[in-house]
Amino acid sequence: MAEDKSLVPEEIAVENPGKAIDLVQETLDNFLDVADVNRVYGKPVNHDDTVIIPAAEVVAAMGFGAGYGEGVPPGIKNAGGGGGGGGGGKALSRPVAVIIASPEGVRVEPVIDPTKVAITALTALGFVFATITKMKRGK
Amino acid sequence: MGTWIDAKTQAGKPIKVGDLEIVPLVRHLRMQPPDFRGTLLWGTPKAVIVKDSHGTQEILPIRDVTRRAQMLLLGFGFLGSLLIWLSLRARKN
Repeated sequence: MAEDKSLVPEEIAVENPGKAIDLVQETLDNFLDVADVNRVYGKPVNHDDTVIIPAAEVVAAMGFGAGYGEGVPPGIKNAGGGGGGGGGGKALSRPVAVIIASPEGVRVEPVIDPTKVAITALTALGFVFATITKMKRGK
Repeated sequence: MGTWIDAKTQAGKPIKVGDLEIVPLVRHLRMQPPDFRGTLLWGTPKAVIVKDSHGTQEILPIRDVTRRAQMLLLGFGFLGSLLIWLSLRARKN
C-alpha cells in the first residue's frame, strides 16, 4: 500500500498553521519556477539533419487558503475547534511558433490557430451587428 | 513580499545543433497579489539567439501571429462599431 505523504509535515501543520501555509507556498513557487522555461520551449525533435523546437505560451495559476478556529471559551464542555484548507490550479498552453534548425540555417515559423481567429472575427462582427441593430431600434 | 508583479526575460538552456547554439528567451510575468496565497505565471517565447562557431550571433524574434490577428480583428470590430454608431447618430440628428 502506498504511503500517504503530505506536503507539510504533521508537526508543522498542527503547531503552526501559518508556517505550514508558507511551506506550501514555497513548494508551489519552486514548482512554478521549474515549470517556467522548460514548458515554454518543448523538447527538440530530430528529423534527419533538421531539429524542430516547439514554442508555446504557458499560463499557470494556482491558489490556496487555510483557516483555523477555536470554538467556545475554556471551561465549557464540548468546546472545540477546527481548521480546513483547500487549493486549486490550472495550467494552459497554446502553441505560438516552431523553431526549425537545419544546415541551411535557423528560422522561426509562426503557428496560426484558424479556429481562434475565426471566433474572434465572429465576435468582432457581432459587435458591429449589435451596434447597427441597437441604433435602428432606437429610431 | 516585495512587488506583486514581476516581469523579466529569462534565457533557457542552450540547444546545440551542429555548429550552431540556440539560446531560447522567455518573457516571464509573475503576479502574486499581497496577502493572497496563490500565483499567476505567464510565460511567452520572446526570441531565440543563434550563435555560430565564428562567434557571430543573430536574434530571431518570435511573433505571436494568432494573438496579433485577434487584437487586430477586435480593434476593427470596436472601431467599426464606433464609426457606425457615430454616423447613424449624426444621420438621426
